[in-house]
Amino acid sequence: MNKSKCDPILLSQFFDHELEPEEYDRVSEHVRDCLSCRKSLLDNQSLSGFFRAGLGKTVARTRFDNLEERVLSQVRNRKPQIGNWKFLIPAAAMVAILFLVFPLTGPRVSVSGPSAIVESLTGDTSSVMILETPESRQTIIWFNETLISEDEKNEVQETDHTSIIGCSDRRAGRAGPVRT
Amino acid sequence: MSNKIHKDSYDEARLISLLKQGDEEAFRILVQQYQSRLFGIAYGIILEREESLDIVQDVFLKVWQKIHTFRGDSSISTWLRRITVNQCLNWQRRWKRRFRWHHHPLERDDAGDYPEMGTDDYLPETLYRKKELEEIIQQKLGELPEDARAVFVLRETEGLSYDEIAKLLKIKRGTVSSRLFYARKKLKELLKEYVNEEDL
Ligand SMILES: [Zn+2]
Repeated sequence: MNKSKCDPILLSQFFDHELEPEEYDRVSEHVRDCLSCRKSLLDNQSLSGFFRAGLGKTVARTRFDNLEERVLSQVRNRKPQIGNWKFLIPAAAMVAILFLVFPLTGPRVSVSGPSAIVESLTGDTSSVMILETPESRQTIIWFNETLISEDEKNEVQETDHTSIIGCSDRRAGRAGPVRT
Repeated sequence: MSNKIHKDSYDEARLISLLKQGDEEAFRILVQQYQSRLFGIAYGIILEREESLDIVQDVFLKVWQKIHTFRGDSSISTWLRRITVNQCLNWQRRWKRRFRWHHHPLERDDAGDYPEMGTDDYLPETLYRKKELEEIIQQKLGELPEDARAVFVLRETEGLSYDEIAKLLKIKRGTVSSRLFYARKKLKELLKEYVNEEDL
């Protein structure tokens, strides 16, 4: 960066104090003589100031309303975990396989009453979708979604898993696939 | 020796030790200590107050459940920040995938296409304009791609260095630099347009 040439990227790093001392001095020297770069630095500073002030006000206006109590009551109400998802998912797969095998070999499931009733779901985010065919043959799909922490150390790297824990089709009398 | 911890005698190691024992009072202190800060990060990225509050709540729930995995290699604030950022980015990805909802990202410029720096008007300095701009910046932030916004927010709210941001977001240092430059450039352009419109 010299007197004749402005380098916006370098200037941005200069603004953030992310340059090595020698380079910092060089840019500093350029800025002294360059109105355009000085103006850009001032704009960065204004932008930063406005953003921080605005965010500060938003935070100040926000009511946390005993956030800690809400978390604690969530913890208390939460049922103890049956086991690790690493084990639950294969278990769910096994259940699905059993559903898949038995209806094919055994008698067909009657459509006169429910084959199963989903009473509750556990997990961070859950949703149930029930699809009903015109002949009252129902397909019930229920989702249980959770964030799984892969890393057992300090670094919590969440990955997003959507699991179809169960999917039964009463008309065909078989279970749908289980995937993660 | 008392097992209690008081806000006045805040000691991180002791707080963590008590949290690991399931001490609810220690948890309350942790939440009160960090809720605003984490909310600031979440709000900067998500730009939705209620969603950001939900995210912060989820972060503390996760902390309560995972505190036994915290080994103290980094500070608790670094750990909390990391969980918050991950929650925010996962939240955005999840919603985008489910409902195909997303903001309208601006087209990225070519690397060499820099704006003519310093030729635009100064951002107004009056109090009235200041207040307006504080609000408008938050709106305009939503027009940035989330990756650029996350870098900008971490730099501005937490004052993280390029290396710290790179580590946190698992990107290269050079990427941090370019995203930050891009975010500022776009914000300035967006604000310039607004300012001109209003001032004329
Ligand atoms: Zn210059």
